[in-house]
Amino acid sequence: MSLFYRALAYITRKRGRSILLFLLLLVIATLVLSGVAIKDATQTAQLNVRQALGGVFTMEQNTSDSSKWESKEVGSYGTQSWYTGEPLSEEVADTIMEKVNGIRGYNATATNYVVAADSEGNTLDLLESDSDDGMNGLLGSYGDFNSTVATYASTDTAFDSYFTGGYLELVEGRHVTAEDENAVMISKELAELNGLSVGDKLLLHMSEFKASMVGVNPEETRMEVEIVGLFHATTKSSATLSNWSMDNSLYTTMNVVRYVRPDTPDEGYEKIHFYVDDPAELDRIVEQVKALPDIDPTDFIVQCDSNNVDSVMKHLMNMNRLVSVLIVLVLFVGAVILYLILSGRIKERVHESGILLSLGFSKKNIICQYLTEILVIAVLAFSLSIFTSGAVANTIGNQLQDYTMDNISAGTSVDASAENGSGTPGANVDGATIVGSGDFAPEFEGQGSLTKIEVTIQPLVILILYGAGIVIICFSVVIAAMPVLRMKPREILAQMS
Amino acid sequence: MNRLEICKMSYSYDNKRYVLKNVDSQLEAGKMYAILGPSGCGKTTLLSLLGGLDSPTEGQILYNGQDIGKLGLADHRRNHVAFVFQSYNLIDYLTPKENVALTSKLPPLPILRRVGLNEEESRRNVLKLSGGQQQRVAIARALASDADVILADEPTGNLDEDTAAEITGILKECAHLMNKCVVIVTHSNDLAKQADVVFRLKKGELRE
Repeated sequence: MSLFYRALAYITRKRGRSILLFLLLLVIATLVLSGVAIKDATQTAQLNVRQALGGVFTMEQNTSDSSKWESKEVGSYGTQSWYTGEPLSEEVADTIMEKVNGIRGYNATATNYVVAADSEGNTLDLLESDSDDGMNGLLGSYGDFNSTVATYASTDTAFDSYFTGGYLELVEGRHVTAEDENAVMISKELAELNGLSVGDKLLLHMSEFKASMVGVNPEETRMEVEIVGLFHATTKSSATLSNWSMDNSLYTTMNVVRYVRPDTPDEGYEKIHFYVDDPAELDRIVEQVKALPDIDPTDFIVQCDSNNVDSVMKHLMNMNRLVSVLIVLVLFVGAVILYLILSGRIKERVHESGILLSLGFSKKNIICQYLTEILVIAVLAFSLSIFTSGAVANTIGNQLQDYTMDNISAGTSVDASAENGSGTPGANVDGATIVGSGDFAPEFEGQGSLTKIEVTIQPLVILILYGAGIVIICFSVVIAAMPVLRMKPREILAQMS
Repeated sequence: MNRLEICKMSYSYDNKRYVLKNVDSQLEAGKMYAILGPSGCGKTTLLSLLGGLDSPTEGQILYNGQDIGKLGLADHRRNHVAFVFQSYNLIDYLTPKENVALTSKLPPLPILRRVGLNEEESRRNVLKLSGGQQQRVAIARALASDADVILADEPTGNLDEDTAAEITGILKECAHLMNKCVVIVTHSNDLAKQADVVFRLKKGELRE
């Protein structure tokens, strides 16, 4: 009778023991595979964060000089203030691009609010979203104020932080660039609501309420623009006003905004985001930009705020360390438990070993039988663990990610509030949540694409599990069988009796 | 022809106190031998040495004229001898048929029938058989190996009188009808009386 027949007979007839060993190996393999998968995923997330968030620096106007602030009375509405310092222009950005190497591109942005109508002059129907009903009600009393939509002037929407952060994605058409004369991007949802598509025209104009405030005829601000692209928000967003939500927003160029809002003709961009090729070069590039003679620190502030990146990275690294410790712990405890169980299993089979020896079976043949039994069970357990570990890894990964997100949100909330005021959308991306830096900018729910833990079990990991598992099993069986291997058959039979 | 020859064999556990001293004997095919002696006198040790489960401290054991130490003890156990133990020593997760097939060079079912087990009993769990039936399976396993020498250690020790008589009869048949050399270690004088030759082991010496 072959050892394989004996091994299979033992597995199938000692079902309780076989199932116990199967479950033990399944749990160990599942935990190890899950741990390795989560560790890989956190490392990928770290890389994503470093690449997406680590390679950006910003430039803003330095508005600290109070002598450069001007204001005027706007009828009975109060005072309008603006800063008269050197405006943040495309020329400044182009100079930096020209003189400093390693910058991939930039996007200069400014926010305003206009009324959008279709080509026949019918004001667009707007999408409802989560908003402050109280504010909507209050501002609704200001004429057509509730018909205004947020309008973002952008030099290259492909580099807009909402797009680079993954909160928005282009689904049709193309991005808006500085070369465009009268291009606009709207959300797919807004387009569908109003039966619009790429190539259709829109009419933009200043709201009557605002026009009356600044003494401008709104008809003179009317400008025809063409829809060149449609975007889609990947996560839910909300805004202070329902009509200013991201789904109702427009992306266009600065010249369009200036035409529609002639009350601030000299206004420059609010912020410029520069994207570098290699995040590791960021500090050098920022220092080089600061040192340019064209960049007067009294006019502009150049900074790379790595707090958010560090905050995200810190938690991801902690998670990575935690998972590494867990893997080592599971491997160690698993190997010890496995050894104890296999050792006990072989010891309780000394009797059987003695019988087989007395029948002329060699020690090698007997140990091979025991090894075959365990390996057959192990192969089945490891195979099933490929499926169970996927589910377990996703569950544990999601739990850990939620925990990480909580930490990140708590860690970045101070930074987020500190940046408010410039009105630039998406200036503060932490990879988990986005807080628009403008007072009325839309806020996105946790998009988490950067820190998202995509847990997949790689074939190489499975191969390593099989290899390592088989080595540990062979080692455990041989170690556990050492006393039997050392004993003479007569001693084993004497133990039996 | 002598199946087994014991030549000036001694055995000691610690090289000081000898359990067996200068044992010399010849065991022939077709005969049943009984070895009698008080507990702890070395009967089982002698049987183990004959079966190649251990090596003598001094001297040698010859099988058909060849030193079993040189033939290889595992080879000797596999091809020349078969054991029948007091506690049957069957593999509990194998059926009687499979236990017999473990070493079988012959078809197991006819042998099991010959020792008194029917086909249904041959497929049962061995632990669900009576002691007598289990011992029959152990003897069938010894026969199936087609070994020339059957070494039985208290084969009737756990059996009632009638069953013991039946088992003794089967062992006797093995010697007389199948030309096996059957060596039985026992305390039982009744069993010893059935043997062709009776040895007494006392103070390490084997006497007929």
